[in-house]
Amino acid sequence: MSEDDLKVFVKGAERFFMQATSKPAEVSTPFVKEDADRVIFDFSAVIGITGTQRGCVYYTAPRAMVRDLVAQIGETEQSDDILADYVGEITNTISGNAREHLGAGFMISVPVVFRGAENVRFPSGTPAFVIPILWSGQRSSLILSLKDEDVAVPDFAAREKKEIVGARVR
Amino acid sequence: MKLLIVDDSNVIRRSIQRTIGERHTEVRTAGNGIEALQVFEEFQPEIVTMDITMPEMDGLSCVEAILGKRPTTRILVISALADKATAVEAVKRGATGFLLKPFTADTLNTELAELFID
Amino acid sequence: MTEPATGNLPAESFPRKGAFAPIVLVVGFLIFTALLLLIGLVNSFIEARSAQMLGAINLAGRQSMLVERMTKDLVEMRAAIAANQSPKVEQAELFEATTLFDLTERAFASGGQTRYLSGRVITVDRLELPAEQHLLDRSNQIWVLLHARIARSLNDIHDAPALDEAVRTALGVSPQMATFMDELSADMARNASVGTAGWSNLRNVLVGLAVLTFLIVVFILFARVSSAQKQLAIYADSLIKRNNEVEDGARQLAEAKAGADLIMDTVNQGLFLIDAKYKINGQYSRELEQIFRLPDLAGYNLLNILQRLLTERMFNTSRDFLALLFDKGKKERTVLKVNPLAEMEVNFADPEGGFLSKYLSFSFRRLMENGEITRVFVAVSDITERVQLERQLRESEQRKERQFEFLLGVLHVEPVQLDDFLKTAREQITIMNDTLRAQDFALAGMGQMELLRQRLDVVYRSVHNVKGNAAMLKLQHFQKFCDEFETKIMDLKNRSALGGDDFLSVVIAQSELRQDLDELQELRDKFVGLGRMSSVMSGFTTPGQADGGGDDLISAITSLAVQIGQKHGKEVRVDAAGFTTGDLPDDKRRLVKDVLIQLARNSMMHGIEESRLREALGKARVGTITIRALPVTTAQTFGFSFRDDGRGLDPARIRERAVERGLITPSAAATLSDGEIVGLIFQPGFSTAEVMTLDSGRGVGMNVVKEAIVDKCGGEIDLNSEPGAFTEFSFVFPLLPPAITAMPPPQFAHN
Repeated sequence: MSEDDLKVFVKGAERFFMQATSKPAEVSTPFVKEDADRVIFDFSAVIGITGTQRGCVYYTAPRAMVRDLVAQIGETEQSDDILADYVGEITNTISGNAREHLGAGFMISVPVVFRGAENVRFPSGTPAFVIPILWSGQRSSLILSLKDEDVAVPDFAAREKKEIVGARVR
Repeated sequence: MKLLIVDDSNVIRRSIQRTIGERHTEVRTAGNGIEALQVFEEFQPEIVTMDITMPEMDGLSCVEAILGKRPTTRILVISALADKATAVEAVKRGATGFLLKPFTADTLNTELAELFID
Repeated sequence: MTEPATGNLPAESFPRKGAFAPIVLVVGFLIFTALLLLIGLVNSFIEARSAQMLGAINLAGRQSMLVERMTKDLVEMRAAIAANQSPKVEQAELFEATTLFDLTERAFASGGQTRYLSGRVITVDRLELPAEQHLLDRSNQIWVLLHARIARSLNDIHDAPALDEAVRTALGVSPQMATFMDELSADMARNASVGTAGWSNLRNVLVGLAVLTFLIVVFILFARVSSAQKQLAIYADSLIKRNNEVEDGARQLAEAKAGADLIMDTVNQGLFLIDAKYKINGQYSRELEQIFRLPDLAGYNLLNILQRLLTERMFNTSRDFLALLFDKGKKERTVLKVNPLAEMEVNFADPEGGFLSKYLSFSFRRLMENGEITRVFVAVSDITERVQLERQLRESEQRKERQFEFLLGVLHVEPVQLDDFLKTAREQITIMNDTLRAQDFALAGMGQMELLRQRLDVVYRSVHNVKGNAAMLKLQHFQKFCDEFETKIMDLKNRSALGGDDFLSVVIAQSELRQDLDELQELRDKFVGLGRMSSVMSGFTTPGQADGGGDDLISAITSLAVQIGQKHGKEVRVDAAGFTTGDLPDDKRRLVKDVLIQLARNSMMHGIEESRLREALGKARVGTITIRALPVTTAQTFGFSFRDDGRGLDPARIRERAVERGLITPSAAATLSDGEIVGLIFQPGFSTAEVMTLDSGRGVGMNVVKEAIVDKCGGEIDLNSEPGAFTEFSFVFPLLPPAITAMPPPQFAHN
């Protein structure tokens, strides 16, 4: 799991805040999610990644923050539906940025939105990195749970490096 | 029959040559695309083996160039398993046969024979 | 007649007369009709003749009647005249009769016309036969006479004698005349039938012919009809047979279809056909719906299905491949060799978010019809289980290998030490993660940067600690890993601007370290009992001391020091007589261990000189590290000293370095005493090492020690050094946390 690939998602989040709001967001130090950590806020959206890395990317934010964000784009209605929808939109932006950079060897799913923390599951066996995204004094999180794909099905190759010992010709 | 071996590995070139050599075929070799086209011009082989996993050179353009010069040339493309996309592309551009690395002498001979069965 | 389409009709059922029978029939009918016409003609002719003859015969018979009439009229005329009545009627009648008789006689004699009483004209032929002519002549003779006499009377009806003569004549000849006429008519009658006999014969022949023709025609017809019927029967038979065959065929087809349907329903592969536009064509197996997770696939385009399931790159390759399949110019064998879908990962959208990954295997076969590739047969299987099993197998093998390597690297370590290491390392990781997790966001701008740097420092120190522990236990993997980790952190530290996302590499490395530690733990757990055995066998300890203690620690420190020394051409021995940490609580024991490690390394790197140099300096070739427990004033403290007989601390160099590092200003450097200068080594960032190696510090070692002993435990450090001779550290610290004890800070027993 390369740092550069992870950064793509972080950049995606930063870009969203840059473009959609007047204030940029700040990224604080990421940490590894431990079992006891409760990292999910009021609204979350998850996208699936598959390709040379596979797993999930979550964006989660508290209600107050989403309200503020929604207000930024001039939306006056602030029902839960609107808020949930917008969180999905944010995550879409993040995944859109990812698509650009990760290229044709990846598939990125549409975001699925959750309210509250009960139903949000993290893939077991894969560590999840929680990256705090701070905006306007409020805290949201980008959570990356990705692992490298084994060379199981040898299809997603970039161009192969030359093998000198390619032939066993008698 | 005239055969041109294009592969940037000297070891492979020699091993292919050893296998074919039993057939009294005239053989020339080339280590990259430019060389291959030059040799092709003057040698005019009927068969070409082309490694398309050479990183320095685009094996596919070479296939296309050769077929452009003489469309009846039989090209046996040699590739590694992992790169299916390039393999499909090679067949698309007109490669006649296909061989996976690593290969044995038997496989090589079979594929060469198959080149002429339509 | 067209020939019926037959596969199975016997050839002899074809009517032989097939081609020409109609002509025969037509001709037959024509002949028949002609004959009928002829017969009719002949018949009419015969009739006409007969009529004529009959007429003549009647006329002949009438003659005799006429004679009688003439006679009667003459008599009545005389009677009338005698009675003075008008004889007009009789006269007229007589005239009429006479005329008619004469006319008829003439007609008979030379042919000609005569009349009936009704006035109708009739033509009579001259009597030909001699017998008749003879009769006629004889009657004529008489008539001439009679006629004359009648004529005279008619001329003058009142001529009585003439009249009488006439009457007499008439009466006299009439019987004879009658006889002649009767004979004539009889004779004529007899000859009439003879006359027409020939014609009648002809007619009969014709009739016979007609009948024959008719019969022939009928026969032919009949024959044809019967053969037609036979043929019909044969056709009917064969039709029934064919019907039965068709029914049989249909039934077999239905059975086969039912069989095929059964196969299609139960086969555990997706089987289907695609046309040149990649549309699913015709019947497909039910399993296909399961595999593609789509109900009702008829008419779906395979490419559209694949597009939703594949990465863009793999979709493009697959699309190109399908085009090749339908390209006649490419050999099937070659194309199938580059099948990218032979084992392909596909991803279905998971309604609960993310993807469901499956693996499918496609195989293809061209279908040729009339030399064209019209369709391709596709078989697809879900091989997810197999691939996942393979992967699990591979992973498990890889893990085993890793674990084995781990094991090899760990066998030499006492389980207790291993436990210590694991515990310490975990603690450090927790410290790291807690630091990273902490939310102090009051600061912004420069303050933020400062905050981040602080965190980096904490992380660095934790990693350094783990590295040291790993080094001591010769856990090469961890040592190496932590070293690389440290490098990453240093890279970050050297950046002018730091953002939170720069810490990604930190958190990745931390996570990897965690995972490696977990694996080590797993390994350790498997060998619970082994430690005892191995330690006995390797002679590390005597059985009674298998739980470890000071001896193990000192051995480890010794081997660490020796190891480092070997790399740098230095020899060393460790003297720790009477020193033990076995009575300490675990955490303190670890603390001492950490400190000793740090000191040992520093000594070997900076303190103890190379063996040759030592010799040249007149020192013992082998350096000595001395570790002693310190007597302390209270029972709740622990103290120890560490001394090496190396080159000692050089205040001048330290002064230089400190200024270089920006720790103090040059002016401050000048004012500080040697003792204070030397104390600077406890500052973070201080190291006089020229070259950073795996073993040397990067300037935090002593600082860590200071923090551990003084800051955290409330202890004290004493440092003594003689340049060129020795360096000695003394540590004292309370065994209980500083807050709990109300005791004054512990005192050194010596200076």
